[in-house]
Amino acid sequence: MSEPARESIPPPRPRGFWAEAWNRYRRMPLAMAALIFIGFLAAVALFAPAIAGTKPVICKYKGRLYLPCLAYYNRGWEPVVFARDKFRGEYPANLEAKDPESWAIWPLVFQDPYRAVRRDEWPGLPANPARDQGHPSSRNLFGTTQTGVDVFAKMIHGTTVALLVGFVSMGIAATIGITVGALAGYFGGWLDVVFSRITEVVMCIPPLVLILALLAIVEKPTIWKMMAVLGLTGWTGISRLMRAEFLRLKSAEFVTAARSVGAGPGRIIIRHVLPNALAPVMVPITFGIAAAILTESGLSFLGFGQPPPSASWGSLLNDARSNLKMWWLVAFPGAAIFLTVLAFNLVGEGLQQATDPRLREARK
Amino acid sequence: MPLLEIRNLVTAFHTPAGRVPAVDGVSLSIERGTTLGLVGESGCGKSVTAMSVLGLVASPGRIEAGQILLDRDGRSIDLVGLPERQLRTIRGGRIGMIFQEPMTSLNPVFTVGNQVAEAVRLHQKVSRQAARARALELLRLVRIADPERRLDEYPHQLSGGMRQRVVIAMALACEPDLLIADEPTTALDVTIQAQVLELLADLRQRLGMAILLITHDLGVVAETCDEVAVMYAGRIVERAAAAALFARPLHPYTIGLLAARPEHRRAAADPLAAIPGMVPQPRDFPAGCRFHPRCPFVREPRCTAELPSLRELEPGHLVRCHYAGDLGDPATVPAEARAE
Repeated sequence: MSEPARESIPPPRPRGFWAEAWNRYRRMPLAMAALIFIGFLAAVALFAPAIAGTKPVICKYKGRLYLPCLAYYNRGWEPVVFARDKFRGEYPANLEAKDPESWAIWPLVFQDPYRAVRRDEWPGLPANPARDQGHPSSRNLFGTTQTGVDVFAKMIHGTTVALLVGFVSMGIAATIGITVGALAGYFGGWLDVVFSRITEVVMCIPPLVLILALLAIVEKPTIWKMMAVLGLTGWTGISRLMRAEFLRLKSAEFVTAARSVGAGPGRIIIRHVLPNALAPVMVPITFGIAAAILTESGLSFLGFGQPPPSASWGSLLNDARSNLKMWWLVAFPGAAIFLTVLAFNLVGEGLQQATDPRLREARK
Repeated sequence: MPLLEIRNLVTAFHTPAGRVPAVDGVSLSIERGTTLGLVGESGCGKSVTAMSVLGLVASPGRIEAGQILLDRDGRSIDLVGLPERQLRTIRGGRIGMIFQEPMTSLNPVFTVGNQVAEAVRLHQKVSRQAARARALELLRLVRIADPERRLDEYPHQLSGGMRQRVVIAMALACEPDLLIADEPTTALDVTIQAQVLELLADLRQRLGMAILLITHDLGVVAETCDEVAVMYAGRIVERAAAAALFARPLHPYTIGLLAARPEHRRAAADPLAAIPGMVPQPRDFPAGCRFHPRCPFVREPRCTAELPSLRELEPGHLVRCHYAGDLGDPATVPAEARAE
């Protein structure tokens, strides 16, 4: 036996495929900036009620602590005590009047995404200007809408909507696409024929038309139903890529090797083939998120989105149609949509480059 | 009772162009603790035979006939027609397999230790730590230098010889009774080849397992095998003890193979001897003896019309040739070369 002796220089730490990919991704400044921007958006989306709102983040009222800001996530989460004490959504004055002992921590910007702030609702703060008077100012950073709702607050809360649409609909699409593609590719035969035909049928359905049809039928069109439709129609590309990867990998020698040590089909699909097939579908998933955000904005712009009061970027653009002199209703949400879609596309492109097998080979 | 006995195995592929019998009536047997070499040119059905034993023949291939009897604690079970669930306990548990390409037979996204430990955990209910400890032990068994470090490395960080050792470690995870080695050294450097063969011989002795060694390298066979079976066009054409086969090959094909070895030349300047022609494609196997178009000893009309049977010419020495032992003088040009 003449194995090479232990080298004196310590070898680089072992790295897996994803660690290598991350290493390459990190060196792409544009893709990295896009990823950081998406991280920033995600933080904004998550903490939207603490950034802009008229409900305290946390307050002490009649001896107990409450988190009224949670109502922005789900209306049902607003503590009942405030409804019983007839706050009617106006916290600052009511807190003061009904319990002098109370205190509260407020969001960074006292503006509501769903209604105009009235005069002296916050001590000393004037009422939001309405109609075409709501130019951007120090009080309303991005101006106000026709009805006097603060655009900045709307956009902060709209981030949640945009990212939710992107991630949830693509999450549905990825789950279906990966499952269908993996099963069709691995088992082949009649299962492949059936799944491939189903995929082709679904490909023929234009999601926009389906959503419009659905919105016409369904009584309460919510954003969740829109996400479901986008997810249920958007998985075909992922499924076809996945199928191709599985066709290629199922005859790979390491799969035969895994079978020869007694691994069953479930284990081979999930543990051996899937991790090797995942890299190529990450790219269409990322592009899909961008497309879903764009679709939602487009539908809201056309007025087919979530019924008002909604805080979607697209619905702000819709508001702008009535008076194009209110440029701030176009510029800010437009820029937000543009930058977000661009960022997701840049991340997708970066992923493509970081996981490209040809580039990987070249580095060896 | 032999450890493994294959009887009249027929494995065929059903392609759009028709039925292709890649393995056509192969019978073999391997005793415990011995090494059987299965020799033949590319495409003669060696690997399909091995895959059939593990039930791993990929669609559209199918085992159509025959028995594969495995001795399991004194009881013989037929692997043909065994339900998939039971086959999985055989694979890796009783029969391990190693492959030709160590570059591709390890999963690129998992560490070496991870993969060896998985092979352990598939058959034994042990904790993660215990499986990892066993993986380390196995890497030591296959003599990988610095096994603690290798455990956490990825396949692309290892050399070809090292990877083949890892593949062997995986196959040995549950101490199988039989190790099928499908051209284990073909993709390796000559020096590494010798090391891997030496390792296999050593492991066979230490673990008392039998080895089915598939190769086209007669030098490897001469060094490591107790018995040899020569395959041609889906059939066994000669079977004998290794010493007997090399001393006195009986089938014209075996004679040709032995003559074609580079070391058989008298001087380095001599041209390499070759068997003219190509192995026929399974869908157009010739009638009669399948070797007759390439056989220098061919005699009309028997060789072209009648399929020879595998007969025991000498004790333990079987050959599938009408005129074995009495071949006469070779024709100057075999039929296929004449046709060209």
